[in-house]
Amino acid sequence: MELHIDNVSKTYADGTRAVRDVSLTVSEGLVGLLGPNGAGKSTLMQLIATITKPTAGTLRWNGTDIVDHPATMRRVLGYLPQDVGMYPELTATEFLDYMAALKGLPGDAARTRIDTLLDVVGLQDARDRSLGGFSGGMRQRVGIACALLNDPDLLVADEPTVGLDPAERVRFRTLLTDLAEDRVVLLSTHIVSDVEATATRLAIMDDGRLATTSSPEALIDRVRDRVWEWVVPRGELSPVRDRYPVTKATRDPNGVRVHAVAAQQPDADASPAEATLEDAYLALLSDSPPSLS
Amino acid sequence: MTAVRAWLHTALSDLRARLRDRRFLLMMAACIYLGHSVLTGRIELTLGGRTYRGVENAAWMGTVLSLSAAFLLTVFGFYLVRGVLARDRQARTAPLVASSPVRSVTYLLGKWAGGTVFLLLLAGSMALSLAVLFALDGPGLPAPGAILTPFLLVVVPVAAAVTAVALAFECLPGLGGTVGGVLYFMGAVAVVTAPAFGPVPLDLLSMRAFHDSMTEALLQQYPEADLGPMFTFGYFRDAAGELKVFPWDGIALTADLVARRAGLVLGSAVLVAGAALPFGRFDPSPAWWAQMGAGLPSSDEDPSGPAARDTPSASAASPDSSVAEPPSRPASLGRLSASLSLRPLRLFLAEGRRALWQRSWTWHLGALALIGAGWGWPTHTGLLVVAWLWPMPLWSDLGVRETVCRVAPLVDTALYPRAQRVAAWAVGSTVAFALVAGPVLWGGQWAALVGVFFVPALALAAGRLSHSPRLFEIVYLVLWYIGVANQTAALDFGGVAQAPTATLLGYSVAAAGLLAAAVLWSRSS
Repeated sequence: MELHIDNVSKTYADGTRAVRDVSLTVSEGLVGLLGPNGAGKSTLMQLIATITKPTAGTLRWNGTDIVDHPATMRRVLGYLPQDVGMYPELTATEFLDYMAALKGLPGDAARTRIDTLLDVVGLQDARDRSLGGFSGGMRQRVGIACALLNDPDLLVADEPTVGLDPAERVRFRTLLTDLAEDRVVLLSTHIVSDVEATATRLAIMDDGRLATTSSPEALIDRVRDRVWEWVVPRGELSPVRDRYPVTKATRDPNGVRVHAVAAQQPDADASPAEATLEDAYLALLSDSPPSLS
Repeated sequence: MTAVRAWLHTALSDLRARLRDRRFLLMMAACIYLGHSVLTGRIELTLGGRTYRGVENAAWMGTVLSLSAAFLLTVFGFYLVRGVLARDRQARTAPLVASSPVRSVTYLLGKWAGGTVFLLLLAGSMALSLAVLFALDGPGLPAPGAILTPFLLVVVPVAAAVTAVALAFECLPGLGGTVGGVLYFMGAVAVVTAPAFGPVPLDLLSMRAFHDSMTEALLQQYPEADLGPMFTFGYFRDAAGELKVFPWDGIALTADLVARRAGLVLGSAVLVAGAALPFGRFDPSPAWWAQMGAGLPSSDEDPSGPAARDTPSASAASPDSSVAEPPSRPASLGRLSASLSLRPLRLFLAEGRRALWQRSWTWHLGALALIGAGWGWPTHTGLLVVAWLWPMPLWSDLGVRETVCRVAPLVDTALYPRAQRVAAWAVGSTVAFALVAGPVLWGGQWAALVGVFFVPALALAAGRLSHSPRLFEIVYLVLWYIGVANQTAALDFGGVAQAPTATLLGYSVAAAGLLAAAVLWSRSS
């Protein structure tokens, strides 16, 4: 199982270059696609999901060009869009059965699968209620079940944890980790904690480009020994933010305790701190990043 | 002052959104063509059948143009300006509006002003093109007042009234969707044609005032003229030949006439203000009278907004009230052993269930009654006419519902997105066939089969092209009104008027073409 993205670009009719010359190869495991809002993550997801076509480059699934042969991808694809919609007049079971028909599942297999999936996403009790009355988190869980209907080899989830409460987020991460054992799972998010503990690999996008690909550990290693904590007077936080990527700022009796990335000790009182993925991510996207070797 | 500012900005934002829609350019081009058609005599106004017309001066041309524009706005303008509240729901701005200090009346009046100006810009482009062409190809630069007077007198009140009715329909339960569109069309046709039969309380286009003024001028020159009850105007492909002309310098502006036209604008504003009562301010759990509209959903509406409109019982309950919190670790998910393949019958049944589930019980009851009556009285034309109207809400959803419910990304990435479209069309055709089965199989109205294939194909293609039910609704209503309701053989697709072979062939080819386009066209680009 391998998704091969080769020099892919997408320019919209209005001239917006959403994705610029992205190359990436993804195999089994969970790949976290990180990036700020507007980085091009959703467009890249849509390209992979065959919703839109690239203006340049190729996308291949196990060697088959999915632009020329989208059915090859759709057969193995589970897609959870960022803003998942559903028919409000149908119940959860009816909607999943409808989508199962579109995905080519036979009736018996669909019923069994839907039953299992409703257990997995914790919606067994709500299976016969109209989707129109579902909360955002419940809808998201139906979307997750929908994406898993055809037992996909490639699961593409675009900002899947939006709308989920903390318990649901943890549960969803666990599910993705389980699924990634024998599948390709591509998870797009701008929330670092979503992928911190689960991703085997990270791809970071910024302004339509792929800024880097790396394992989480390797990315953290890039900023190890360059993360500092110190207290600054309240009025001086802004200049500090201008100089360093500040990943955390908490109240302190003497001012504000800042947690930032800097190549050199930024202040005489600054002490080394534990590096996190968020430090590495923000340092990478910072306008004046420390030298990352 | 704050209210005026809120009103103005609501109107401006509404207008900007409409003008930045690419379809506006298409509408503008059509209006410029219509202005050209007035000057070239394709759109003409005659009296005494097609015997007399006025001298082609600016007053005459301006009046023909204004009446034409007002007629078009009355019949079609509604479909251009409706759906404004649904658009705010879809754009997710509804909660922002609802939680802002703006009063509902101010907000609705702002939307009304935006829609009215939009219609006036369209009609104005007709007038401007006529004025320019009049100066270039006609007798010279027209006196601005000659064109402007009938425009202000006829078009402005009509634009205001049409927009007001569209907003009021959207605020009233059950009238925001296809049912409202059908009722409006019938009402608009009745209002526009009624003055031809005598004085009426609501002469929307002031046709009688213009007719009386023209008749007076005509009789001075042709005292022996035998005139009918009303002038004739419309779009003609052939020239009328030699017409007798008479001088007419425009309608006299009497205080009564001006007051009546101003009253129409004022009445429209009052109607909009009154619509604030049932508006509900985007409340997702509307009052009981608003819930009466449930089951008659508008295809334009975002179902995630007023969920109660579609599923009142579900939304009445707290969303999570009876759902247990999910366990911390999900149940294990085994691999699927079944193979994936196209199953046409399963797809058809799934699509059919989806399409029929959302219809109200009254719709199902009506459909069953029509099916039964069709078998009982298979040659009753009136039943067939209604049978061709009843499934309109279902057809209107074809190709649209996926977009409105934001399911399109799921459908398009499923294994058989094209088969889904074919299945949707097949469901529409099956429902059509069920409704006309009696007349076809029992009454020998085989020509109706053409409509069975054509109408859902038209709906699917229009829905996929426009992402809205409105294009289909207006095209279909015109075809239905002329071809089926008025039994015009040349446009009959419903087996009511012995349509000639060429017509049936034309509809068949169109059905095949529209279906192929709808199925093959992909959103990805």
